[in-house]
Parts: sequence; structure tokens; C-alpha cells
Amino acid sequence: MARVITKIATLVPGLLALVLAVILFTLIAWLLAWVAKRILAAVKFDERTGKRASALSEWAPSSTPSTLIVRTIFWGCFVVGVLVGLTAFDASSTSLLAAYLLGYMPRIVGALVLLFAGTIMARFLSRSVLIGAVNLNLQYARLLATGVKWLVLVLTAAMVLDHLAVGGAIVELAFGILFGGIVLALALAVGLGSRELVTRSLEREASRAAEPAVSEQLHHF
Amino acid sequence: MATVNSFETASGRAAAAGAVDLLIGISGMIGVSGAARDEEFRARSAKCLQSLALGLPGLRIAVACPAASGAESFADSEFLTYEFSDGAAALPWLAAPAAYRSIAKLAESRQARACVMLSADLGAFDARSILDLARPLMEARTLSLPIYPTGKYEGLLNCGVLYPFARALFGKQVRYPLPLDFGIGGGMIARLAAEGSRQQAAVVWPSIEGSLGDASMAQVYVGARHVAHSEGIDLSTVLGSLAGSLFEEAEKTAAVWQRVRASQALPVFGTPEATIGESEAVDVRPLIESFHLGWRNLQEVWGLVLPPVTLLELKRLSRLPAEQFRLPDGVWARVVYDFALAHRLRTISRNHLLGALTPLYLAWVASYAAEVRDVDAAAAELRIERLASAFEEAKPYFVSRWRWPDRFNP
Repeated sequence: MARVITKIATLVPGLLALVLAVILFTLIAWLLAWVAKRILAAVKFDERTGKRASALSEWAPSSTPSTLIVRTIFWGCFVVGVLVGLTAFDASSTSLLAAYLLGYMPRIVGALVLLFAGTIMARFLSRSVLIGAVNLNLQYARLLATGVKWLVLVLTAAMVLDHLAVGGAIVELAFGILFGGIVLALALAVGLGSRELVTRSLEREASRAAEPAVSEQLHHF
Repeated sequence: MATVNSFETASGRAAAAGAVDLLIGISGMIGVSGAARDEEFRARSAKCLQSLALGLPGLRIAVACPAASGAESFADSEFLTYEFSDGAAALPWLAAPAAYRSIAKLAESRQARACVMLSADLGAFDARSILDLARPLMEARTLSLPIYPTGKYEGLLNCGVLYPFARALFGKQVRYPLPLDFGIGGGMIARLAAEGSRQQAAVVWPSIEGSLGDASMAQVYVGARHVAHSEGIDLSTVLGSLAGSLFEEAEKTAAVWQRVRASQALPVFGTPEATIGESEAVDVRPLIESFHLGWRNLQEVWGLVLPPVTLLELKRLSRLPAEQFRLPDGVWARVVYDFALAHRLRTISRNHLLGALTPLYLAWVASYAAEVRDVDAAAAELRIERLASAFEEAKPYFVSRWRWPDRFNP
């Protein structure tokens, strides 16, 4: 019992250092974000960037460019604070297990970032493909969008597992087989199973070209 | 009523050397450069200026062209050049703003009393059209806007979205809020010239600039026709850029248009030009199919933008047979307003939002084309007026949603 209490007591200074570092860096982050917000507002950053920043805003539509910058500064400082705190905690710890877990922490953070970015990208690309395909009058728009979404998600999952060093070569192998399998299945489906469907689709397109196109009679602009 | 002679001439006032009374600005690169093209333009300009000299005696008139168009080779007192580099834009509306600003600055420096902006396709580069556009400016108007002789199936994007939306918001019945040709005078020249240093808008809306600047506006029936080169240009791209630009204008000027009620007719000069031939009936089935495809696939996206009542209306529409396919004006007005609101709130990516509007726009086109199938262009024009009135009637809905987007969501 005494050994357990002693062990916990030895962790307290490290924990305190961790909490202190996080609080301190959160305050610094808040201050920097506030200063950045005021400066960006003073120089009318959103208005000046205008169209140039639209590509950035597309990925986070509910945020203006200046909000994105302010948030990046805040969370960047916060993450630095956590890392500094972990370093302080690590220095005060003598346990090998704790050292191993702490060493593993950056991988977990990296994997979470990858997962978050991958999910956002999958949703964005899926919606882009869906809307684009509908506007091109492709009947299988939903199928295309779902395919793109799952391809990106599978790729993200493989990257996350690889980053976490889980599974080792098995993940790479499984991903290669799965990804290659999907592409091969699609190729076979189009080449063999959907041959009739593709033929009919092409014939329909060809017959449409012969008809007087609606776009020739209607002038939108 | 003032006459042509009441327009004070540069020669009649103590003007600086090189002053002009009327500046005709060609807003963009004149086709493909080359000796033959230059010769053709030179001959056409000389003929046009000659006719204008007869129509506007005593006035100093000059033509302003982009510096790289070849016009510098014959630059003199009648031909001026301005710096222009944005010649690669696929759409004329995207290339023109830079030219408008340069021309307005040139007009300001030359102390021009009036300036007529013409499209680079030279569709309105004839003495008649220039005189038509310049006439209101000589009667103390500061903005003259054209009314083009379009058929019932032409300029549909303007008829269905741009005209009714801009009219309802800004309270001016401007039939072509984004014309390719227009005339400015007095304070509007300074306003457009200063606009360049204030902000670099992607699209310049002369009618909105006029409304905001309290310009004295008039409309003019012109005979000019512009050929729309739609090859290789995607409808959703054009819809996205123009509707997106209009929605941005609405966002920037919210404090102004929320106070505007109803709309005012503007004085109209000239007589309507006859439209060339009557268009054949259009097969609307492909348009309806596009809407059905959108309904099957984009409900998730539309659900983020449109309130439940509108979604129910669209559901009802999706079940109608082709011969009964009609999109009520009120529903279409609310759809456009809801997309404008979602554009402001950035509910989803703006590119996605404007892309998702295309099938709905095609549904409106199908409904409109079916309705005007058996009527002439004049009756179709009345139909557009009814649509514009519906937009005005639905404006309180837009104002409420704009002010309280979360609380007011029927």
C-alpha cells in the first residue's frame, strides 16, 4: 500500500507540471488568438482575401478565413502546451510503461488528425462528385459519390492504422488487396456484368445527339 | 425636355486639352488580334463616329479600347487606349469589371460628361445603339440601361433569377440588371472609377451600383443583339458565378435592401424592337428528368438549405406528370431566397450550394417553357413580370429569414 501511495506521489509533481503547462499555454493561446482577431479585423482580412481564400473556406464553409486563422493559432498553442506538459510529466516519471505510453501519444494525436481530415475530405469529395454527377445527368450519381466516399475512408483507415503502427505489414497488404479488389471489381462489373448497361447508355447518348438538343433551343445567358 | 444641344460640350467649357464629351468604351479584348481584325475595327469605328457626329453635332466623341487590341496603332484624339490584362475570363461578365474601372478612370481624366460601355463582342457598336444609350445621359440621367430584344426562350437565367431577385431587393424595375452595354454619366463615372480602389468585385452590377449611388436611372430599348457563346461553358458554372455574385451583393448591401418596399418603374426611352422570329416549342422532358435526378440524389443537400414546406412542394412537383409540371412562382421565389440565405450563412460549401441550385433552376425553366409554349414574346414578358411580382410578395419572407434564420424556419 505504501509503495502504491509513494508511486502516485511521485507522479503528482509531473501531473501538476502538465496541468500548469496546459493552463498557461491555453491562456497564451487565448491572448494570441484575441490579438490576431483584432489585427485581422483591423486590416479587413476577410474582405481583402475575398475570392482568393474561397478555396480554403470551401473546406470549412461555416468559417470565414480570419476565423480559421484564429482557431489555428489557438489550437496550435494548445497542442504545444499539451506537448510541453507531457515532456515535463515524462521528465518526472521513472516508469518505463509511462515513458512508452507518452512516446506513443504523438502517434495517437497524429492518427486523430488524420482521421478527422480524412472524414472531412471523404464527405466533401463525395458531395462534390454527387452534385457534379447530377448536373452532368449521370443516372448513377449516388453510386459514384458513395464509391468515392468509401475509397477515401478506406484509405484514411489504412493511413491511421499505419500511423498507429498497428498491424504492421498486414494493414498494407490488406489495404492493397482491398483497394485493388475494388478497382478490379469495378472494371469487371463494367467490362462484363454491366456490358449491356454500358451499351444501352452509350446508345442512348448517341441517339440524344441526333435529336435537336434542348440547349440549342433554350438560351440561359 | 432637354435636347441634344443642352448637353454642354467640351469645346464650350474651359476644358483641358484632350477633353471629350462622350467616351465610348469597349470593355475587353476585341476578338482575336490581327491586322485584318484591326482594319475591320478601324473601318467600323470611323463609320460609327461619322454617324455619331451627325447625330450629336458639336460633341467631342472618342472611343476607348484595350491597349493590346491594336487600337494603339491608330491612337489619336478620337481613339484612346487603356491598360487591360484580364482577357482570359471565359465569361464576359468576369472580364468586363476591370475594363469598366479603367474606362471610367479614363473618362474621369478626360472630363467626359457621359460614357457608354460596350461589350467586347461589338454587338452594340453601332451609332444607333450608342445614341440610344447616350440619350438619357444627355437629359441629366446618370445611368442608362438597355432593354434587349430577346425571344421568350432567351436570357432565361436573367428572367428566372437575376431580374426578379435584383428587382425585389433593390426596388428598381431594371429588366437587365447585368447588361453587357450601358451608359453612365456624372457621379456614376466617379463612382465606378473609385470602385476599383475600394474593392475588386468579381462582377460589377451597374443597376445595383446605381441603386446604391442613388443614380438617376433610365432604361432604353436597344436593337443590339449579343450572341451567347455557350460552347464549352457549363450551365452550373455560369449559374454559380452569376447567382453567387448576386447573393454576395445581397450580403454586402443587406442594410440597404431590407428597408426597400415594393419597386419603382423606371423611365423608358425608345420603342421596343421586334424579336426575330418566334421560337419553336421546346421539349421540356430532359429538363424535368434533370430535376427528378436531382430530387432522387440531392434531397440531403436541399434539406440543409430549404425549409420543410418547400421540400414538400418539391416532393409534390416530383410526382406530377410532365404535362402538368408547374413550379409555382411563390415556391420558386422562396427557393432562390433560401439559397441566398444559405450562401450568406455558409450552410455548406458555396460551390456545392450553387451546384445544387442547378436542377431546381432547370425545373423552373421547364415550368416556364411549358407555360409560354403557345404564347408570343410579349405574353411571355408578362409572365416574367408576374414572376417578378411574386418575388416582391415573398420578400418579407426573405427579410424575416435573413434577420432570424433559426427562429423563422417554416
